[in-house]
Amino acid sequence: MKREVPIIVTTVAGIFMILEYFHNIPGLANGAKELQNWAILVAAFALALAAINLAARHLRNITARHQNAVHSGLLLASMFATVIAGIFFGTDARAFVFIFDNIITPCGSAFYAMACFHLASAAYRAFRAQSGQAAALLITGIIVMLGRAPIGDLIHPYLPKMATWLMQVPNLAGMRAIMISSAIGMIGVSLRIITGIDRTHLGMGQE
Amino acid sequence: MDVLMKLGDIDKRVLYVLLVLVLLIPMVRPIGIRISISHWTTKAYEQLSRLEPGDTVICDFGYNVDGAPDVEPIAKAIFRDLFDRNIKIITVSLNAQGPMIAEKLLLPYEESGKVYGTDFCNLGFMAGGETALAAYARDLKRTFPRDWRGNTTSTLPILQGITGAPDTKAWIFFTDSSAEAWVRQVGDLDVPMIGAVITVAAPQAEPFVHSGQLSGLLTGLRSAAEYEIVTNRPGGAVAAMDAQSLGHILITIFIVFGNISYFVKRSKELAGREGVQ
Repeated sequence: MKREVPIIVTTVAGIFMILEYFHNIPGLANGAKELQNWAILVAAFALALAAINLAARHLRNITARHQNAVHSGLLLASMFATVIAGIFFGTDARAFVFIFDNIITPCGSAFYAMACFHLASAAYRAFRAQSGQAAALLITGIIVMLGRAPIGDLIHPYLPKMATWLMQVPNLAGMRAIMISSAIGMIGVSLRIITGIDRTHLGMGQE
Repeated sequence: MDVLMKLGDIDKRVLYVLLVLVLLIPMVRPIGIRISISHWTTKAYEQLSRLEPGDTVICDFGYNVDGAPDVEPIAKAIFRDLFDRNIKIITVSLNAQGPMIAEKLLLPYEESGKVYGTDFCNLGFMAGGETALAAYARDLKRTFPRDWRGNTTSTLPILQGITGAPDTKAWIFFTDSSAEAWVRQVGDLDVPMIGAVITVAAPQAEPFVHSGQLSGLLTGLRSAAEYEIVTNRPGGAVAAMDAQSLGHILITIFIVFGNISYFVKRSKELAGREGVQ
């Protein structure tokens, strides 16, 4: 029963959702909405569980005087400060908004901005035309980079057109191939899960 | 020859300082490089320009603050355009930071007289990824019984007569990742969908505009600048484009320097080997 019940639940839920998506059968839509709401509840619990797990993990680091205990302490302090501000004072409270506007937002923007410097440095040091393929990547990269910036028009009127062509013909063809093949792969995986052949999501391995 | 070889060994700190300068100077003294309007932006603008005053659109915030510098200018340009035309906005979010980001963008309009619950509302974040998206695209009030500010959603005037996406005039999503989740979960509903994605996600999103699954696509700061221009409301994104142009030029120059140095070194090595033989 320990094996069969989860497989039956997966199969029934999977078939139910497929039927609801592809066929307009009366009554199925409400059932599907209910199932989606259950999934949302499970996801919300998973978030809470993840937060508890994270706190426990970093508390262990602190009590065991791990070499990164200071980092763990910092993480827990900021985590609890945010949680307390949000839960006890509300998400529109000055403390919660302060944390978001003056800590989370500038830190996030700074990380993104730093990527620009790392990318520039990496492109300078590693972007070499060492082979035919590398040269093709280098040339197309430069055409797209310049062609998609307003300066491209000034350098040569054909540069933006070449960049657009590269994006809309070779890139599009490649992306479509990747998307279609991954979608077919996903159908295969879904069918294996629904039919109970693949049980890795239940921690059981394959038949 | 030595000078050419040294072009590949410039200290990265020199590159960083130059990059800071070429990004900062145009912000202080704009050059005013002309910005052409791309086909995708025109398509998105045409779709949104069909909206009438009083129409309702859903804006889905799916980006984090670290993606904000590239995506947020698009959200700002669209909000300004839609609010100026008295179009109502419902914000939802697949992302935990989304409601705070939306709230920050909506605040100036609330201060200038737009009424919460009537002209706009912020429904907040829903956990569950694509499942949550599928649920709220079909039934907003059932998925969000309360909004971000704690109001019961069934009492909000803006949501009267609206069950899900098909009851609105457009669905605009802002994301710093792939557009696939929206195409999969909202694509089959009868609502025009416009994607606003981070620049690096553009190659993944473009096939969906070609296939007609997206009615328009805006990609990063460049599209934000283009949208500001087509709506005759130049703002921060237009000002930042000069910096982006010069930044791209500098990086290209350094890549060329690196390659010149590489080829000079290689030819010297080859000449050395031939000399030994």
